[in-house]
Amino acid sequence: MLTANSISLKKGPNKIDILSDVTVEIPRGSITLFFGSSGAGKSTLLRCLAQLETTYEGDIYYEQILLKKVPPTKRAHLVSFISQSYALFPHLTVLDNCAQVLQVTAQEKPAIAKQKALDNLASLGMDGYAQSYPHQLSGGQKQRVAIARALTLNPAMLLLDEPTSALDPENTRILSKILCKLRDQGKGIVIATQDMSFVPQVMERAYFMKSGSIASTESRLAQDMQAYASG
Amino acid sequence: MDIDYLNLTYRSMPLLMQGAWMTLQVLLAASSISLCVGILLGILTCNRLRSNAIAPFVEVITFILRAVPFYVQLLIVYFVLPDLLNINMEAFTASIIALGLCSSAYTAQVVRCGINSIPTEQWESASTLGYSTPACLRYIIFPQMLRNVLPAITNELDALLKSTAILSSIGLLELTRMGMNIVSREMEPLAIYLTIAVFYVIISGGINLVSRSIEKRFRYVNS
Repeated sequence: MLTANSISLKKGPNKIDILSDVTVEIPRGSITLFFGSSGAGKSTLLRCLAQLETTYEGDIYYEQILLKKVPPTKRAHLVSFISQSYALFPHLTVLDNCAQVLQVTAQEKPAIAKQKALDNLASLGMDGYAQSYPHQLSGGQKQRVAIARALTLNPAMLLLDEPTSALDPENTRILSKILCKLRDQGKGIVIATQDMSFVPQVMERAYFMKSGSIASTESRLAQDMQAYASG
Repeated sequence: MDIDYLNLTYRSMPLLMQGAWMTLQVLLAASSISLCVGILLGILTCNRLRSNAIAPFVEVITFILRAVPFYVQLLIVYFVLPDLLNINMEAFTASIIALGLCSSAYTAQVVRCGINSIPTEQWESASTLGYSTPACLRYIIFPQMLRNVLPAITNELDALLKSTAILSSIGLLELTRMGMNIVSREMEPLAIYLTIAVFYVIISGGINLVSRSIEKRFRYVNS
């Protein structure tokens, strides 16, 4: 369980509230969505959960572990984050993008790291592109490589920021299937999105965000979703 | 007349080769200092890793090194520094120190801009994947940065090579000084100075060849 207790974040010279008093619980083996319009604080919340923002107030725990105090090498085994742009390493092949993580972070031997990375890529149908460079892939393929790379360390939670923003409907459906499969394997999936066509495909638990806070309680969620979708 | 020129060039070749060897030694040593110190200073002043305690100090130092002409820096290192520290310093050592430090200030700027040019997402992605900062620099940032800054670094090495000619002013027997000595003995500047120019072109060509081959290794985008 990933737990955020009273997370608040102010930014900029005027100390504008980006997040205010956000409390959420995200269990493993589920897909949790944060949706809302641009500037609602979804991505910032995910960045806080991934410890890319560290100046927030409040605490974020994985089980009983305070994430702020965990060094990056160990944290990568608990929580992994995929940004909107996927941020693949452009100078490395698809295989090396995944294998190097194991070599550097988990001190795996190159041959073992490459085999594990290849298995991960195969599970997402990307093993045929192992020797390609990221710029030679489509948006959907990059997305799958980013997921394969994030999974190399077998993290308990996977955070995805706007994962469908550059995907067509077919690739969005493929992504939904992959995420559901990962959920079934016991991973906690957390998604920030404003893509209302994607929401029904994966929604199990959802939080509607507005102006940096959780705006919907569970009872009002359907109502808020409908209001948001109809603009 | 032409045969005289060729004959003189041929006779002077051993001395000119000695001078070229000295120039190469100084170039290699100074460029090593320039790259090592420049990369370190570039890291300390880049946006992502700058610390307010160290970066301003480094910036002042690099500014001074870029503001003061190299010739003046050389005179300070060769004549003033030994007096201040009460040590003996040979022309070779002074040349390497002065040239290396002066060049490192420019290299630091190139490296700083190179690191800053790498998108923040690359740092963040490495961090969420568990890379420590040194590992991130080594495996993610430097390979991408090197590709961007290689032409600028090559320019700096070319400038470094040409600056070695100034070392003749403190009596270091590098290529230019050796040529000047031959000219003062033979009273025939044309053949010697043209030969020296050819030597510099060859050395510079070597630097550019190495740079191009490294560039090819890093040509992973739109190749």
